[in-house]
Amino acid sequence: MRQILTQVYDAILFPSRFVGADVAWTDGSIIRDVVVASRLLGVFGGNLVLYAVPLTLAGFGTVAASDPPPLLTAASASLGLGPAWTWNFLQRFVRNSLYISLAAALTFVAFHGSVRLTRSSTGIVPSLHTVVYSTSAYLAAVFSVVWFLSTSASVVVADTLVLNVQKRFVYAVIDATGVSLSLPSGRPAPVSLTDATPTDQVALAVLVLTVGYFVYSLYLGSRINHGASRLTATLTVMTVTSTPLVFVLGSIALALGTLPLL
Amino acid sequence: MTLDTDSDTELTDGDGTQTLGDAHAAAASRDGGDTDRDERVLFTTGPSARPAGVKLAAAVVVGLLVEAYLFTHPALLGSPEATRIGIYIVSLVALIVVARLVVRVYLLTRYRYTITDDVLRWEYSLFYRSRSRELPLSKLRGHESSRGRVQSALGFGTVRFLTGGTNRSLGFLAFEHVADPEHVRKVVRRQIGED
Repeated sequence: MRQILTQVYDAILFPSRFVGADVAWTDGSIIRDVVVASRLLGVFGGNLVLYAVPLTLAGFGTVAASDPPPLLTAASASLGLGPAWTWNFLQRFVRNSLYISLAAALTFVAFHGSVRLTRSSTGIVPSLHTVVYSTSAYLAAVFSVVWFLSTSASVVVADTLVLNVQKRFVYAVIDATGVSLSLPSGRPAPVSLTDATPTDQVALAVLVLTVGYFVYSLYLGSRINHGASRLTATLTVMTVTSTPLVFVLGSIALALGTLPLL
Repeated sequence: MTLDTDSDTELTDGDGTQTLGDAHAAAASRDGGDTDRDERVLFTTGPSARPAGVKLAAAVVVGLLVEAYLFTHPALLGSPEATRIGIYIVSLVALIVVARLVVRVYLLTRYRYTITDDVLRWEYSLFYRSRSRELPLSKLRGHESSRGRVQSALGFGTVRFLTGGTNRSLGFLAFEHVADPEHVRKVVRRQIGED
């Protein structure tokens, strides 16, 4: 518990200490790298549980109703839990964990690819360290705020605005590539903040702040763990933040069966 | 050997050279250190909290000014609601920066830097918790001093020492916000035979 509080304290007040690695990575030992990478994946798994279990217990995530497997029925009965509840909980836990895990994997590819591209990489482990800590804390916080926006009845305007911004981004890419595609929900109408309640406003401010923390943590990871210059670290962050653009372009390519810019 | 001190010095002695003082021996004992070792303290000092204090004051002033500007220009970000969100963001950022600097100022008041004939040492104790780090002078690979703008204005500087690894590793030590960084380096140079 004390360690968790220390980590939260560092994550909020001293992100450089939180994201920065405490040891020298460049000793060239593969065994040491494997050990450290395993430990980091353990940290990610632990943080994933800390993030996804409360979300799942709070009722976030939806799955189609289905019968629990016989093995789980027996196991949950021996623990005094209802098989249907346990099965539903596990399915929602996996779903809630999946988004952040996929986002972490994408971030890792973009981050490490960028530091390799800018020739500032000191190895795969420093990138893993950076991404594990930045995604399992700051990105998890971003996801939690978005979950809150999408499910809370008191933050309608903020939720609509966040969805609207995402749709406008997709349409900006569609318009820039000149392809004839549209989203099922159509073009978003402008959202007015006039009806935004104080809760809406605070939620949006916290969302902006958590996104800022996430971006800054990647910058710090590049600077501290890879020893990158300010310019290189900025380029790394720009590469990672452009990942959604690549994702949308990829989705358009899949929809069209060809690359949209060709 | 001359004992060198500054205004914050606690371990002073009349004869110019001294073995590890009682206070330090007690701290070493708390840390599980080797109290049998006979070492001579050449220089001991603590960082000044003034540079961090100036940054803290600047953060408060800038935060308040930005908020006041946003309050008096409600349509600055397009609508009063959007500007209010901006005020919340500025308030949160300012709160975090101020909290960070307050912690930093307090921690700096707890730090002690010591140069002995064997080692460079950083140590602090806080709420019954203590930490210390030592670099053997014989392993010292390099040292540098730097002064930020605030440090220059106030007459302080930082000296960094490296024996190996990176600036996040155990082989790294920094004497931050010391009153005379060049003097610190001079003492070290003299001890390792560079002078």
